Amino acid sequence: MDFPTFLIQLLNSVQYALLLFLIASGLTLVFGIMGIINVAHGSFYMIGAYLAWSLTALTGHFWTALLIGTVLSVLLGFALEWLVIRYLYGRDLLYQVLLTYGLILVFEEVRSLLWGDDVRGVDIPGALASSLRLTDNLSYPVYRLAISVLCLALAAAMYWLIQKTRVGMMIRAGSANRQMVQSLGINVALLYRCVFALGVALAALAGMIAAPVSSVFPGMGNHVLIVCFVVVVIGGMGSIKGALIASLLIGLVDTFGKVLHLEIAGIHLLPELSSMSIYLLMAVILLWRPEGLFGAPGR
Amino acid sequence: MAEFASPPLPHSAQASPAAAAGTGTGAGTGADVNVGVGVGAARGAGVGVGAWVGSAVGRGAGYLLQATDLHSHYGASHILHGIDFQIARAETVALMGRNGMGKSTLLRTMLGLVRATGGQVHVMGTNMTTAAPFQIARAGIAYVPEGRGIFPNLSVKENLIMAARAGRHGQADWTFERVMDCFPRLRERLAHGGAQLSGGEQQMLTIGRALMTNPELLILDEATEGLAPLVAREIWRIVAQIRQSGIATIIVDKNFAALSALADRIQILVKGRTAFSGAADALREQPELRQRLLGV
Ligand SMILES: Nc1ncnc2c1ncn2[C@@H]1O[C@H](COP(=O)(O)OP(=O)(O)OP(=O)(O)O)[C@@H](O)[C@H]1O
Ligand SMILES: [Mg+2]
Repeated sequence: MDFPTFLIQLLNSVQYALLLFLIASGLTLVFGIMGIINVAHGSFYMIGAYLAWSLTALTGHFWTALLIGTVLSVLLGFALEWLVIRYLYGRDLLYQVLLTYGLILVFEEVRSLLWGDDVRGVDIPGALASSLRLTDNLSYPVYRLAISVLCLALAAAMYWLIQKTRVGMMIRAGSANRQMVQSLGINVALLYRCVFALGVALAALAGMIAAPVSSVFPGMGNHVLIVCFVVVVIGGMGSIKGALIASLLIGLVDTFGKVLHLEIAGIHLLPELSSMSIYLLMAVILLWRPEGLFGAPGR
Repeated sequence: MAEFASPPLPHSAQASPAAAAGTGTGAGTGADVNVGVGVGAARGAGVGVGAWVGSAVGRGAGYLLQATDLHSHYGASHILHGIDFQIARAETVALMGRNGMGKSTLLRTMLGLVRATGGQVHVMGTNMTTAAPFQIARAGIAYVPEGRGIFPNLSVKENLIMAARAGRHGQADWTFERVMDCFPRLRERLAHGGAQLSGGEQQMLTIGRALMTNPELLILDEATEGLAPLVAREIWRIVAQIRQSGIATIIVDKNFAALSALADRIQILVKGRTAFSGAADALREQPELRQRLLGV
């Protein structure tokens, strides 16, 4: 592999990783703070992508679609927490998985009714439609770089929110002792509704900004969900920092696993290895640290 | 508002020699108040000095916190059997009783953490029987729970500033700096995680955190439990200071000597019912009653 190819693969893996982080961070936040396993989380990614498609078609402008879509997904998050999720606090895992699995079916059905079952595409917004030339015959799309930059900015904002602000302290305190937070005069129910909505909005935003580089199709949230769970498990349930590191690891292993597979495909040496690589990574890390990289032991 | 104009409800006391609200706030117990463990007569001059809170009640200012015929259950077991409890502004009430008699349950029911299955809770005249715990806290009540309840995943500083809030009349006397002055030992450990503190420091942190909400009433449940005598004495000194600053306190503890030095009134629970309510002196003079109700 020559250097430009390597660089492109590296950029690809980082972009994929950061997008993954955006989705997984909501999943791990909702689990770590509210104790909810939400298997419908991948659906928000799909909903985001479809929102980007339909709103871009409607408004004729990708960035407007992004803005409206974000607002809509926050509202969806609020409504969902109020209608469904709040009944799951403190419940057995089985209830959580069953009910949120039910949500996947509902979302897919509603998606089918609203937007149909066809594969859709979203154009890359004009201002970012160009490419950066790396060598004579290799170039890298600016839009993909923009995705990475936006994701990094959001990750930094989230770090600041959770670690540095009083709201973040309240959120973290709530994960340790919800009742005590209430007894300090803080409306934990409202706080958690906001956290849930934040998680939904991040996943939907990931779907929206990914739409121009990947196609928009039914069930697109399901694969993402599984990879996100791998991220959350590797990073440690509930750890945002862990999710970031795990996303980067997965991005690298997944991208380079595929590339290496191409290179060794000639000898047919374990061709299935590349599709299994991230699960192998998870297995190795869990053998080493059963609670994940940054998970609290005994959780 | 009718409930304020009416005189305080009679206590279902087997023995209540001093009328419920009949003792002073003890504002006269100066800064040199001796809360040394085992010094039974420390209060002395405090009785009857200072503005009598009862008169405020008479004018209709009402109680800070009032429970009327309170019942509560854990599942099928009936824990509180119709308890009347009240505390006025700047008053100090000790809640005593042997293990499992329902002291914590009474506190938690008044705080909205356990749902009352009968009776009412009024906070400053507002019926808050079904209010959420955060609403009751915002009404000016801070809680230091049994077992402390610090946030181990937050630093000491974060534990404090996350709770900062002006009181319900906008009073912000208890700033971070003032809390630091009150608990110099915490200042040295601001960056530490909450879980790295010793038991006494954790207790100070919980009390400091409660003060950051600028409460009018501070509820302390077993604040000295499991602490070495010297550390416990430090906690008692701080509680006396807080009381001095005009914050009403409800104190649950097993140390009769320390409590009787601080409290305007003692209420004793036996199996979810009030068995005694009155001045500490009355109880001090009746060792056999004390023995029967408290085992001390
Ligand atoms: N969460 C609970 N579920 C069921 N029963 C409980 C629960 N908490 C307390 N109890 C029971 O309620 C009764 C009153 O308990 P409570 O904690 O109010 O007593 P207490 O007076 O505070 O005792 P202690 O001095 O031990 O703190 C006890 O019999 C106890 O076993
Ligand atoms: Mg108790």
